[in-house]
Amino acid sequence: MSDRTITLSEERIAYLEALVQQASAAAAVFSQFTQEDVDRIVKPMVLAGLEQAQYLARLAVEETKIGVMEDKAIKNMVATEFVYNYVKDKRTVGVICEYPERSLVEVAEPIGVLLSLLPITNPTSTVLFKCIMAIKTRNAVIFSPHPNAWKCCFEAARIMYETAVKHGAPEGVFTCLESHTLDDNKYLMRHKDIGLIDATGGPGAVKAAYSSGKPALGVGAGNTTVYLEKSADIDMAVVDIITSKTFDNGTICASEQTVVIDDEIYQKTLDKFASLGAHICNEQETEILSRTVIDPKTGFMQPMAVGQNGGNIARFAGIRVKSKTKLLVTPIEGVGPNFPLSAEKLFPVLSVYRAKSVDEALKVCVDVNHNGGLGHTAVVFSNNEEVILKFADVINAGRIIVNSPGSIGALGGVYNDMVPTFSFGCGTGGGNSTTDNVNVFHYLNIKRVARRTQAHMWFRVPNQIYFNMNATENLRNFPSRSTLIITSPALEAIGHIEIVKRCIAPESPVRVTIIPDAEPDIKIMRQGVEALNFYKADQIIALGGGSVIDAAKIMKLQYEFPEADLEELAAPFLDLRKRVVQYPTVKTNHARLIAISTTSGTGSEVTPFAVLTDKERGFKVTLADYSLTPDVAIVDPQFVMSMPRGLTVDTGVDCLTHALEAGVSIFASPYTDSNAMQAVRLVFKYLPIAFENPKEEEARSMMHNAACIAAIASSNASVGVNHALAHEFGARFKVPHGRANALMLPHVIAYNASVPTKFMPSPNQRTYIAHKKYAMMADLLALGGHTVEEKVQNLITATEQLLDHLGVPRSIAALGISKGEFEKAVPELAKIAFDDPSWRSNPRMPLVEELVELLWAAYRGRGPLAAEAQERHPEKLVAV
Amino acid sequence: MTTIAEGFKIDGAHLAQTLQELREQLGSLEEGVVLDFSSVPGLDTAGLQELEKLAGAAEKKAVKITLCGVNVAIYKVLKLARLTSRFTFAD
Repeated sequence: MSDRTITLSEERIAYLEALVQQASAAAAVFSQFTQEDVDRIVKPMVLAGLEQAQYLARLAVEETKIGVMEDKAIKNMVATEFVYNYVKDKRTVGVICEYPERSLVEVAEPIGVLLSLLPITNPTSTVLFKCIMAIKTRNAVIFSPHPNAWKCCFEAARIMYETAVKHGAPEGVFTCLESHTLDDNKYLMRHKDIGLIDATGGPGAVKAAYSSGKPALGVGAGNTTVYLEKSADIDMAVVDIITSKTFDNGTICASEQTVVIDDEIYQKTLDKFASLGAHICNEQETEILSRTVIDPKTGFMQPMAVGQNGGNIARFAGIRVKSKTKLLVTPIEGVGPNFPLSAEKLFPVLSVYRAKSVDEALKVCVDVNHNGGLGHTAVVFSNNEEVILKFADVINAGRIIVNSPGSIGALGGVYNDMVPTFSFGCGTGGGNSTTDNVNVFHYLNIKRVARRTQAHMWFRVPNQIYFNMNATENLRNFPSRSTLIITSPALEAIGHIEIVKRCIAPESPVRVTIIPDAEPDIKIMRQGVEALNFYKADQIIALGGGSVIDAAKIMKLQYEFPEADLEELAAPFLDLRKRVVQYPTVKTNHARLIAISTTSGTGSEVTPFAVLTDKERGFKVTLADYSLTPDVAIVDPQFVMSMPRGLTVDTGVDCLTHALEAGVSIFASPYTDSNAMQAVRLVFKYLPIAFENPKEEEARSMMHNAACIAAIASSNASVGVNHALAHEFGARFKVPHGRANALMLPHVIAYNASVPTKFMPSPNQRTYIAHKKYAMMADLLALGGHTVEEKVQNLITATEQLLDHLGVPRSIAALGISKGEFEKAVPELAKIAFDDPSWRSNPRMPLVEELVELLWAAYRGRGPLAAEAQERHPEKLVAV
Repeated sequence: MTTIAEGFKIDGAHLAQTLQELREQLGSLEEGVVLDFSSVPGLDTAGLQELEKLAGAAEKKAVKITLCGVNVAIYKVLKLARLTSRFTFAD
């Protein structure tokens, strides 16, 4: 270790190295100790400290010439007894805290070797405190006392060390630097085997600690501001302030420095101070005192004044006071360099300021706080809760002591329930890393053992689903004052609306809104909302395919929540339950949404999704929230009996894709699996029949059920990469959604069934199971095969055969899209597909290049065509 | 093989004493020595210091010391004391 700023002899370096080595060995051995081992050592140390409290206090006063022996003895007792009471039942070894509800456990790890800088003001109490903390946490300490407090610190450390070793602590656990220089501290502060610097002392020591590059707890100067507000108990406040400010002659850095007093109680307060032994300085005395006890060059207190009693301070300044004067009270009219006594004064000189209002008082307190007191301690005396909270809000202090003495209050455990300490964390305002009262937990590395948890899953469906032929008759069960039917022109033309109207309770007024048979547009949606408002509708019946039902969902949303911002609600999210933008919950209007599907594919009648287009501004938003799910779904096959063959195929394959993707989703659950698997079975059995014989009622009915069941699965487990690709490809080349899905489907099954390049984080699944889920589906379809691989291949083949049977084009190329045109589109398609939220639940996390490969696989197509294409373009083929 | 005394406790003296004796005999060990730590539950400061001295002496005399059966708590002590690189370890 070489440092041009450090000048140490070889002998000195050898000495320091030996100290560190000894402490390191002790810390290493200490790491094996149990909680019981350390607790067995701590208690006798505390008793030894208590027994020697007066002896050590006397040593400290004799050596430092600072403070009051009796008060230092009390400090030594607080540092042992009070700290012991706090730490005795604390676990600091092994498992120290358990959070079973979060499956989290905290385990303690000692720091190792600490370098501890000790102050002149509270030397022995600080040693006692730190020794107890170190043993409790299995750390070794090298003490570096203030040069003028070395003997008493050494003696305190010796007593603690000998007691600790006697009761089993490792030899060398405490060491104390012999007479030392700043270079010794610098050398140690940068030593690789020092784990933490705990610097209690003046600003120089703290700054050096924080500048060393080592983790440090630096606790130094303050400037405690006090607000004495007119509602306070003045008698109590004055006694508390005198008690605190004269305790050990004001050497505790949390003691009161400037008291801001409300005008109304100012004189009464000063009279009280005077009656209890304080001397109220006049203007001239204040001026003399400020020149005597504050260094005019630095603005800091004169060292000779620190810890001296009131009489001595007055004598230094040549001020005549009564004998046994406890405190010198100095009225000041401002804060800062022009008012030297507004600075920190670790002796019984207390500045007071007369404030004409609460506002002025708080501002002066802020000034004092920012005049060297940031992050440390502040005090407020008041019985007005509003004032107390306002003070706490504007003052930056780690400890805000209310209606009690600052110094003893800040130590904790006497006047309040704060943690007992002899080190005050001063936060970033004081250049520290903590605002806490430093305690055993700052002497530990705390390890979090986080056990795997399962995310809470859900399964949400509409309140009621009516299915089978003529299920629409159940509309009679839903009375309404005003019903609006939303449908498309085509359904009006073939008379479906009349069927619905006949099923509505006769007393319910019914109106109809026809929307174009296309994607819901924002303009249409607004017209629908106007109609809902005009008719004061309490029931909406959406009769149609996905577009009509989506439009109705969005109309209902805007009708019930007129302030809802659709663009904001469409904000992206990763997990529906943790989304940043929440859907509104307080409704302006109420309307029941009954969805009657007239296609067997999207399943929009049970899903929480809706797509909206703004043609004017040229954007599309996908809304997703369970509040969008219709209240009632009616799955009545009478409306699909006349569905054209092409639509039967496109919607049927869309349904199959929902089921297959939900089945392998990372959000799949036993609840969704049952629906996904059943839907797969129904599609493979009934879609070919419905395709061949559209009038076959059972097939139509079962396909209608399959669409609903698959949508129940996909609305709870979501879809996957197939949908992500199909969305963008379909939109770009105007290919119906179901057909776009079909073109991707066999390739995506193969892709998901192979070993992922990147796994998706999925806490609910213990291993990669997509291929096994596909194999289960193959078994359900009785496709045969002995191994998982064979079964997956059989599922792919069966899917291809189904698509062939339905006449679905085998490839994107077969749609007439040229290779050049497709090649041009692919990069953008892959990029947009990657932004599509659909794949977030896919079992395999897709890389953009893999999306490109899948698009090319779909271009070349399934079956023999693909094999031919592979020969022509081997570089483009995905290895599936 | 030299086997270290069994039943060593944290505050016991057997380990340190055994290691000290071994260090004095190092000159007679030409190829190296395997120390069986399987019965040593923990290390105290004296034991750790003796191990460090033993490592130093072995390095001077080019004698390879292998520690076997070291439990993980002791292994961590040796790691913290930066001693693991000075020995070889075996199960």
